[in-house]
Parts: sequence; structure tokens; C-alpha cells
Amino acid sequence: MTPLDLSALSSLVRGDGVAIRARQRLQPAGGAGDKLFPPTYATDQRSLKYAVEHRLIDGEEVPCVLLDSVASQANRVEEALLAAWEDGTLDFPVIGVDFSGYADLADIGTITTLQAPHRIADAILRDAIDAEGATLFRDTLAGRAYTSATTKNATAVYELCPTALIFGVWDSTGPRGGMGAKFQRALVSEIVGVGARPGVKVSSRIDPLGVQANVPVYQRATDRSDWTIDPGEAATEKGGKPVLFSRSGADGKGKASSVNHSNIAPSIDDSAGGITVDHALHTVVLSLPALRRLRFRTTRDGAPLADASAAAVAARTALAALAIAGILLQRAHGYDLRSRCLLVPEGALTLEIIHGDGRVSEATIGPDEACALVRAAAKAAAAVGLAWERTPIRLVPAPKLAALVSRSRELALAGGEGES
Amino acid sequence: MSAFAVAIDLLTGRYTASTYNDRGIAEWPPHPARVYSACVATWAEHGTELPDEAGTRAALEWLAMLPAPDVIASPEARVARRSVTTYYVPVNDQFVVSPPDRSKLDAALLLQEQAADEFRQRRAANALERERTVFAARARAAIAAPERVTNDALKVAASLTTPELRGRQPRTFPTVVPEVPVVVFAWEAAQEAIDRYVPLLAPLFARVVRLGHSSSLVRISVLPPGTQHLPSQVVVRLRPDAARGHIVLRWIAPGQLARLEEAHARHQGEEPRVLPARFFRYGATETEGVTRPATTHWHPDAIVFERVGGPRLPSVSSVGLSRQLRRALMSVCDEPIPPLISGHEADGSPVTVPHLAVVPLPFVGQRHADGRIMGVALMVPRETDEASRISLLSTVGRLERIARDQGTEDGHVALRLSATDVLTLRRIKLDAPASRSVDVHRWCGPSYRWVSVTPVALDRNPGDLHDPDPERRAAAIAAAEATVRDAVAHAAPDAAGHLVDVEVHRSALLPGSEKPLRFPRFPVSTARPQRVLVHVRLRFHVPVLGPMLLGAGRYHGLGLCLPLDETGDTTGLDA
Repeated sequence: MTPLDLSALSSLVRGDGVAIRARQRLQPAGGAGDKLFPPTYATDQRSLKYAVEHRLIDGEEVPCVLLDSVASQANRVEEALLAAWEDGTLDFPVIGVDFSGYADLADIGTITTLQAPHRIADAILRDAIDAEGATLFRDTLAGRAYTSATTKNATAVYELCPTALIFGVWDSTGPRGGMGAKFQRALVSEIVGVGARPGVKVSSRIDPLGVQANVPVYQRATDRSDWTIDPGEAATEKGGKPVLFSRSGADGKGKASSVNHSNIAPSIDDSAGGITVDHALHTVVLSLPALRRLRFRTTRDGAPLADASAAAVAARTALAALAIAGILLQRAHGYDLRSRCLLVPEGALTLEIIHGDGRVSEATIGPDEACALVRAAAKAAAAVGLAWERTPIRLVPAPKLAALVSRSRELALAGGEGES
Repeated sequence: MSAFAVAIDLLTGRYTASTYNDRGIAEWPPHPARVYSACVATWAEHGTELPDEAGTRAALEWLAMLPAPDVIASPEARVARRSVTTYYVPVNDQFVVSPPDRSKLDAALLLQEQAADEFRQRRAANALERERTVFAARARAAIAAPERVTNDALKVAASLTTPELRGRQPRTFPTVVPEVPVVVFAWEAAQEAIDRYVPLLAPLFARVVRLGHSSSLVRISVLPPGTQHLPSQVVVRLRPDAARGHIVLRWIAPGQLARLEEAHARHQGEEPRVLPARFFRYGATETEGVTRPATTHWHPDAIVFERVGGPRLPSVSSVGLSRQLRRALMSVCDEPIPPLISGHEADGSPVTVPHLAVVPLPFVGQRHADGRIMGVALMVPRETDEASRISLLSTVGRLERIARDQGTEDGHVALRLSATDVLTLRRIKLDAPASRSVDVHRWCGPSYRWVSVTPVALDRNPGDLHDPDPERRAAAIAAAEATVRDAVAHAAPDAAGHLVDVEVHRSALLPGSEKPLRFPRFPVSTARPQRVLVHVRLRFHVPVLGPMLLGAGRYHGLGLCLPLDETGDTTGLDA
């Protein structure tokens, strides 16, 4: 087993390396056999269910359940990279839309390309302007460079938002419409519970105040989002009858339970009652051919690169390093997938290197070494003309967006609406 | 002849791709046509980086000329199908700022860059300055806080900053996890051609990233000659088998590369689009765990038309429509009219061997099915010789030419139903059918269970199936069941000996199907005795490969049966 250093990684990227893969076994944090709660999905019958499959492993049928999907895993790796970027462990370009300039929106903070669902192509960035306050992002030099980037010349995306090239992005609703550049994802990760057995979940509530379920609750006349038990203060319908209170998502119209009082009778949920597993399996694959699809012909301002071939290898190597760092940082952060679904790795992580001829060799690297690899690879790419943008691109919301968000919050609190 | 093989490694251990006609079902095994498309897309993008771009193109063209490959993969029984769930993907097409049009500004910038002399440069600079001023003013207006707010704008704004509020689009990612995450395609070809073209394909294969969904990462490679492909005890080798094949896979026809380039020029990589392909029936050469199906008289490869215009006919109109289309075929075919089409010999006596069945295909089996006729299939017996098939195709071609001369689109057939109604049909060729109702493979199975969609016309009158006397009624039902068994023996002698269970019903058995009483008398002529119509449910103890047409009306659209899967659910999910 060899350590994965810059030279080895660059050699794989330049040569016939096909993939870097890791398969990590995990166990519940509460110990082997403790219950886990996978993600649920709605069915046509409005019930919730898990994504189940019955794999054949060593000749035996083994029920498995999806614990974290490809999309969810991508978000988690992005979160891990964001945390490393915020604390300075990693330094790579991240574009953010900063709402702190608006006092009533300061709680939103900065929404970055690592958080926006569609990354650098997200609508939030389309509705953002530069910090000087005059130019929409897509009309800035950086924005226009991104809009005109393609897989044949991906320089702008590499320099402005390299993570978009790892997780994939499609500018389908930008200035070029459906012809906007599509960058295939290079990193695919998924967690599956192996040997799954269903459990049941129980729920109930004892009201500490002892409020009875049959106390009627009405909608308050002066504020329809509020409630009252006094019929004299209630809103009325035709005929003078008081309107029973209800809130969307809450059961029991007109009952104390609709305002979170009174007892809830115990119930048993056996369709989404959690599972136990023999183990969980985290499979993550970084595709090197996907990175090789990216070409870099010019600098961001259009001048030809002195050695485009060397620059491409260096940029792809930096992206591979960043992806590997993301995998390891996510692992280091812990697998806290959702409530009652915390997993811990069993043993060390080994990287499998899949070569073009099908050979598989192994390599190791830790999170700190991976971050150092990122720095070295980025520096090497900069030396041949492809440098990550050093000046952070800070955007702010367009005044129109900020005003609308403020207004929608005001109305939500007041229970009102805008014009139709 | 020699052989070469290509392996597809599923790097993530799973394969995510939907079948060609149902986004809710995972495709397995990967269809060879899809792999070819992935290679062409890779070549189109990376051709200039390959050692020999033109040579690789020639190699792709050669590959398209090869017959459908053998496919070696985990059999269905050794593949895990992940339950199909709906993911809700955040949309990205809602925003509050409408960016100003910058086309004039860009044109002015370009003009300035191209200005050749000082005069033109000055003029271009002035024009650019004007456009900049106008653009800046429009941009200021676009981003400014609005005076009036609408509900829609508020919702969009809130959704951009609150992820839970962002609109979502439902998507499915049907996935399979095979026991062996490798699939092999094997071809036979002349050694000289293999030596010339396969080395050109190898570097192209190495560049293919995915197959199906973008998360379905693969490694494609040429296997060294003589390699033991996969552990034979856990995989199955599927080979094209038009007569008995039970799995339909897509391969391609010569000229596919040009076809794909043409299609891309039209759709430019945007959805929706259909992969041009040919459908091949495959059967297993390894019989372990796989029962070879029994067959019916009719060949699964039917000529199918889908309705594209005119009245939406209910399934009770099946016999009438069948007669109209047969008459239209007879009106344009060579004299003497072939017995295959007319069902009669030259002396007017009925033929005694199976002949052409003209079968309307209704929308049935799904919750919202309404039974309307979605298309018509011309089903020929398995024993039909090539010359007769060609003659039938030429007859269809004549109908299409007549329709074209009358102003309808190429490849359409216009069927006049009345003074005012014309039904327009389009023959389904290489591309995938628009709906499952007109996908003939949906009607073929194989399946252990079958149920009638249009009622079976019994050859013998069984008695009164509603007789108030229980004994006479039971006798009538038993007689009807016996007649149905005989009908199966006529239509599917291969399967008759495996018929386990027959049920006869006077009500409809599928959503969209009509009860027998609603169908017009059969035969139409009052000079002949009216047949009793019943619906049937059949169970065999071997799978039967259809299509299944039963009873006295089997050539005219009655007795059409739908295969059920082993759970008893219909195989059809959409129209």
C-alpha cells in the first residue's frame, strides 16, 4: 500500500487511471445492532417507505436499504469542504452571496456555491450583484467568463468554482438557456445498509398541563393565525358559528392538539420504524475519465495557455486532490446522516486505484495529507497558467431580491399576502 | 469468423438507467444500443484527442454493421432492483430579476474589437458608450427594489433563501445492483476487421465515463482474446432469438452514427429525445434457472401503427376497425389477394392455417385506463415466409403512399371510417413507441398468467351462463371453459398442454376493458349465428410467449390477451 502523493496522483490523471474508489464499512454509533433511521420517500398511497433492494451476496439474498443517496452525499461532501474553507484548512475559490448588509436578513448570512442547490449556476447567484452594487453577477467579467465556459475550455469554472467540476453543474437556465454548458459529475458517493431488518417506531405524548382533547379551540377574529377558546373572540362563518382553528400539517381541526396541547394516543409505525443492519457500506468513486473530459485551452481572459496539455493535467490533478480531500474531510466530520442515524467507520480507509487494464492497487492518505495535496496540486496548476481565483468573489443580493425576501418575511409574520 | 468481447465494469456496483418506455423501471441488462450511443457521444466530444479520429469514426460505423451481440450478465434472478422512489430535486428556473438584454451591447463590443481604422474605432467607441449607458440604466431598473410586490414574486424570493420552500421536480432513478457488477458484450466478426477496427475503439472505450444516469460510472474495455468472460455459474449468456427470445434488448442498424448525428442536430442534447434503435428478442443460452417459454401461433414482431389523428375509438369498436383496415389492405394489394391477408383461398373458402390478425390495441391495465384504441397491430403467424412478409410490407407501403399523395405526412395511413371521420395511423419504425399500449413487446410477455382485454368469441354456445338454475349454470360455465381450452389449443398448441387454470367471466377484468355485453354482435352478419363473448383469465405452468389471440374473433381484434407478471399485476404501467 503506497501513500498517495502529488506525483502518484498526477501520474494516474495523466495516464490510464480509471477511478479512485473507497469502500468503507460503518456501524451505528450506538453499537452494532443499534437501530438506524434511513431516509423515507413518499409513495402514491401517501405512506412513507425506504428504498429497499435485495442483493445477492456470496450466493445469499441480503436485504439492503439506502441510507444516504448520491445527491445527499454530494451535499455532505460539499458541507465538509465548506467547513474546511471557512476555518482556513483549505483555500479554494468559493463564491458567496452575502445578505449581512441588510439588517433584517443578516441571519441568512452568506449563501455559497457549496450550499446553493445548483452551485455556480444557481438562481441565487443569478439574482445577485457585485459588491459595488451595480452589476448582475452574470454581467461581471467573472460571470460572463463562466457563462461562456464549456468542457472544451473549462478554465473559468476551474478558476472560479472548481467544486462545480467535481460535483457537476448544468447552466440550463442561464443566458444560454438549454445550451448552457453541462459538466458531468466526477464524484459519486452512496451509503447503503446491508443486512437490513425492519423495526417499529412508537410515538405518543403526555400533556404535562393535562389539557383535555375535547376543549374546543377557535380561530381568533383579530388574527387568523392565532387561536382562542373564547367563542366571543372567535372569527365566525355565515350563521355566526365560530370557526374552528386549524394549522396546515396539524391534525384535529378545532381540537387542543392542533395547538400542540393535550395528549396524543400511542401509535406504532411499522413502515418507517427504522432498521437494524449487519453493517453499512459507504462506496465512493472518483472518475478520472470524467476529469479528463475537461479541457483548458486559454486563460480566463482568452489568451492561449503556453502548454495547454501540461496545464490540463495539473488542473485535473488539483480537482482530483480536492475531491479526495472532500471524501476524507466528510469522513473526519462524522457520518451524522439525520436524527437517529449516526454511523462510525470500522477501521481505516483504504483507497483502491483502478487502472486502465483492470488492475487494482491500494493507497492511503489522511485528511491532513489530503489538504496538503490540494495545496501542492493547486500551486502546480497555477505555475502552468491555471490559478484558482485568489480574490474572493463576494456578491450581494440584488436590491429587488432583498426587498422581496424582507417583505415575504413581514407578511409571513403578519399572516398576510402580497398582490395577486 | 472470430470473436471479440467488450466488458463494462460498473464502478459503483450498481447501474442506474430507466427502460426505454418507462422511467419507473430500471433497465437490465444494459442495452447494447445505449452503450453504442455513449461511445458516439464520447467520440463526438473527444474525437480530436484520439490517436486517429477519422479511423475511430470508421470503427464505429463498422461496429454498427455487426449483428446484435451476445450479452453476458447476471440473470434477473440474481439482480437486486432497488424500490423505485421519487426524489424531489430543487428547481432552478425561478428568479426575481429579469436581466436586461445585452445583445446590442455585445454587438457594440464586437464592433469595436473589429474596427479597422481610427475613424471606425472612434465611431465604434461612441456607439459602445451609448449602449453601455442604456444597458446600465436597464440593469439598474432590473435590480431595483420593486414598488409593487406580487405573491408569485414573494414566493420565489422566499424560496431562494429558504431551501425548504424551493420548488421541486419529481425524479426517479431506477437502479439495479447485479450480483456481478460486470456485463460483457460479445460479437463475431472477420478476424481482419477485428484486427483493423477494435484497436481504434479501445482508446474510445477508455474515455466513456458513464452509462445511463450520470452517477452510473463505468469502465469499458476490450477483453483480451480467449479471456474467460465471467464466472459461468452465476451469469447468463443471452443471444438473439427471434422465435423464442423472452427479453427485448435494443441494438442498432447500419448507419446509426449518422442517425445519431442527425438526431443531435435536431435536439441539441436537450430532453426529450428518443434513441433510434432496433428491438431484438434475446433468449438465454444457459438454461439453469431459466424456463424456455412456450409460444403461440403469432410472431412477436408485428407491424404496429399508432393513432396520431382522428376519432378516439373505444375498444368496443375493435372489430369494426379491424375490418376497415383489412379492407384497406386488400384494396391495394396485388391480385389475387394473398390468403395471408384475406383469410380466404382463391375459391372463397376460409383458409385452414393461421393468417394475418388485425388487432386494435386499447389502453388498459392502469388505474386511469379508459380503453380507447391507441393503435393497431398487424400480427402474422410464426410460419409466415419472408416473401409473404415482404409482400405485406409492400401493401402497407402502398397505403402510406396513397395517404402521402392525399396530403398526409410521410409514413402515415389514412383510414376513412365515415363521411366525416378519418383515422390517421403512423407506422412505428426504428424509434420507441410513444405509449406502452402500442409497444408490441408489452403484449408478448412471456408470462405464466394471461387475461383477456377484448372478449373471447366462443366457437360453441356453452348454454346460458346466467341460468338461474345453479346446475345448468355450472354446466354452462364448464362448457365455456372447455371451449376456451380448445381455443388455446388452436391459438397456442405449444402452450395448451401447460394450461393449468381457466376462468370465464362476463365482466371486465382490467381497468379500461369493457364487459362483453357492451361489444357489438360477432360476427357482424346476422346470417351467421352470434357467438357468446366472455372474458377469460388463464394460468399456465410454463411462461408463454405471445402475442395471445383467442377464439373465433382472434383475427379481428377479439380475444386479445394481456400478459400478467407472476404477482398478478399487469405489466403495463402507462398508456
